[in-house]
Amino acid sequence: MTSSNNSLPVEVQKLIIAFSALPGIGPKTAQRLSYFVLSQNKEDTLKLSEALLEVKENLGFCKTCCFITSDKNSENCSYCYEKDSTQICIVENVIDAITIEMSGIHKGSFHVLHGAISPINGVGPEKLKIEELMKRLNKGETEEIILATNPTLEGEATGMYLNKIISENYNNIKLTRLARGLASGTDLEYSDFNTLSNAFQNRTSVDEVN
Amino acid sequence: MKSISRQAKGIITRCTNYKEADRIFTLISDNGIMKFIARGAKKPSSKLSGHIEPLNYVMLYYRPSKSLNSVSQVESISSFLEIKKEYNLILRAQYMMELSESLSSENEDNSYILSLLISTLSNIHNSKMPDLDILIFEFELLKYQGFGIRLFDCTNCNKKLERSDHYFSSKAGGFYCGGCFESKEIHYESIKVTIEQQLILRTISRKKYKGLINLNLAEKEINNCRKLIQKSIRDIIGVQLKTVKFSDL
Repeated sequence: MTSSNNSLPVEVQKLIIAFSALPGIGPKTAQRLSYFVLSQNKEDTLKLSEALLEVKENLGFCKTCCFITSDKNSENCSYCYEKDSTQICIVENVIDAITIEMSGIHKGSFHVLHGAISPINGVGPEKLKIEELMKRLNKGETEEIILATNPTLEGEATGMYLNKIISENYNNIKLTRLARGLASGTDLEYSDFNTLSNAFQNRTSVDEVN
Repeated sequence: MKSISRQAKGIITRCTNYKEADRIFTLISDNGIMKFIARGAKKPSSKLSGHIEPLNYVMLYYRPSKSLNSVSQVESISSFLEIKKEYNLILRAQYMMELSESLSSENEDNSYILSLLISTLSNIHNSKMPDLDILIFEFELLKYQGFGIRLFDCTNCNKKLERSDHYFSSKAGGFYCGGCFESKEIHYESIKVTIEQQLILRTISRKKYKGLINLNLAEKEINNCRKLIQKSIRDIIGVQLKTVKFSDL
């Protein structure tokens, strides 16, 4: 917060600090948002504050799949009951699960890790929801695990770690991962070595595509 | 007036997503640590997307700015694909990148550190003992920064060290001979170093890397040498590197 903010009323200063804590919002944007809230009528501001409060009071993470749930106290969320529990798709974040769910491709259940292994940022396997995943696998219902971590260095490291511990402890579970390669709409000319290497390794026969 | 486009070459050490589709990343370049913003890099159709990944050696063009330099074009020189296929090598590579980052500064000639990092990363996947490559990397990096370890004489009395176990002090930057160790109250901050470990460090200091292969080194001895060097690094930097706890020491 800049020194000029010190002359502002304490309430406004607190609001600027609160907005600045949000990801992608710098001090200037936080100031602009705060002045916008000041200029809003009371009902609109109340709607915003109620929505924020409801999210925190009513929602939590499922103890089984770690996805968002409104049944904070129960072991399984509605997703766990509705979806095919024999197939688990492992994703890094809630937003990844929502994206796959919206596409309608995956009929099985999800497991949200809430991050990826990144030693340089101090994130190790113990900070992810891997223990919860192991508890699920111990039930013996799972037939296939789909690793859908991001194709980044951190995502790949997480995938490799999960591959190691799952294949060592549960050899009856089929382990797959999402295909790597060229994305639709990209130019071959601008592709990086990693993407090209994956595309060549995972190439398919033309008959298969058609 | 639009600023002139400039060129930089280096290894991307870390990336963060920013706003809808932008990425902010750090580069260890010839000119030290540099920070960039790649606008729209998260979009699948972006020409920058695949190139802006940690552990990529890239050449990029950017427009300088007071805050973050804005990237306009990126080309990968090497992606170290073999390292990216092995979990343990990724952890080790991240450690080396964090160490290089912590010993580099902004706007300073950094070509030695960059070339040392590139050569170690290029060799590590073919190496029978990756930890030995990392030990050499750590040793050379400390020496370049002016924190080389005194291996041949006592840091207190300057007498030549005899062939026996000695005590290492990271604060003194070297070894104490038996007499000085007994006379000084330094027991709490010293580590006992065996003849074998001293031999490894001395061979590295003489740059006789091929001689190390003939030594028939045990992994345990290399790891003990690395512990010793890491103690020095922690004292120099002042903080423990985040990646240290993930390397199997």
